[in-house]
Amino acid sequence: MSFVERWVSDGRLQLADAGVDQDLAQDASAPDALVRADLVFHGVVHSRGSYEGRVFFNNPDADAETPTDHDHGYAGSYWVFGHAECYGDPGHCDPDWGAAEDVLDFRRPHHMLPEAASVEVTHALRSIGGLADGIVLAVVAVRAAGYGEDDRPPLRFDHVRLLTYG
Amino acid sequence: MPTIPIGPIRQPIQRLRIRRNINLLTPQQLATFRAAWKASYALSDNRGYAHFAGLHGLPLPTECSHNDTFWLPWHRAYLYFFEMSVRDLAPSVTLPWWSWASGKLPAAHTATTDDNPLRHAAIPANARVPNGPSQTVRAGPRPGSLPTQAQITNVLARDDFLDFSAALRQLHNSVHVAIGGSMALVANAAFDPIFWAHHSYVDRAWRLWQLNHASSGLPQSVLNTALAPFPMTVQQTLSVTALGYDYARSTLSLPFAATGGTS
Repeated sequence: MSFVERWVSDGRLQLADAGVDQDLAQDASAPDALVRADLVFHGVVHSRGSYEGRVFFNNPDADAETPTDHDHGYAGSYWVFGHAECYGDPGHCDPDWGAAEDVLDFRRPHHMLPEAASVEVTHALRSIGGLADGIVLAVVAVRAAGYGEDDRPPLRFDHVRLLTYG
Repeated sequence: MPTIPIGPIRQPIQRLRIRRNINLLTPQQLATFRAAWKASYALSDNRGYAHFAGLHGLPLPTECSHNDTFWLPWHRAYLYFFEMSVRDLAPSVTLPWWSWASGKLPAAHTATTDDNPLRHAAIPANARVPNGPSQTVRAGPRPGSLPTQAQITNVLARDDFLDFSAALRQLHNSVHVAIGGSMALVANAAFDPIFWAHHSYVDRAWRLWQLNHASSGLPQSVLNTALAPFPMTVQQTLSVTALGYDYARSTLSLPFAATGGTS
């Protein structure tokens, strides 16, 4: 397995960015009150190669060699089982193909619709003292040792959301 | 008098097929399993291995479903129909499962003897990716890269079905990534014989979850959805015993007379 690419959030991930209203945010900032926390990646593209997405808190320099422990900010991983390439004609793997909403369209959803991937980060969030100071989020994509001709960086998603419960 | 405190087991229960732990197969069971696998390889039509493996990815269309709502029902149907095709060749065979928590691939699938059909399988020309291999390959897993029992237990403890399904799918994805090679590619993964033991374990995990949850947890709106290309709906996948199999850890049968009863 080898390092492919790294995505680091612009600045610090604040609660407002996570779409949580401020009243809830105040409660969730207290690590002792935290029951569970999920980091949910929405719109994850799986039309490229398979990979492990390693999530680090407050370690923007993390890379594929960074130890996966709390001391180095490792919060957890998600995994994408990818298609790597399109084997059909042009447009075959475009999820927008035939995507018009129609209640009389009984076909299955497009096979390349982006998906969601969730990482439970409860312990990691507690270990950094909760959300009071915000988080710098880094995702390191470590590609699976596969084959094929696709050499595109696999790490693509629409947005990431932090959900806290407590 | 028997000392085991159980009653006689009724005949229909005895007919349930039990999917076993691959690492606990007897030498005879493993030999029969391998013979069935070879026989399936030899069939090039829609009864054979290549046909079923090809339903997952290549050749097109890619039929597998990997979203959180449908992936467990779809793969349960997938294994059911493949298992039935293998049982047409060897009626005693079921699809064994491989526990990720064992930390390594099962010896049954890694033995390097020339005649081990579980080590790799041919990828027919119409299912190969550009510059891809003509038979399945693996790159791992390296030590420590497979899900641990603690991770599996954590997933099984989740009460909401979609939460459970999403978390289990993540562990499942991690196994595809850890093994690498053909298993890391949706297009070719099902050609690797380990795919079936991997997914039998996924299906077993769902069964274990179901034992502790009276409600299926699936949205009512999807229960009548067909799981193409199989003639089966989501609803029909909800009970493994209705499909004729189970994952009992052990089974014990006593004839009625042995319990002290008279016929």
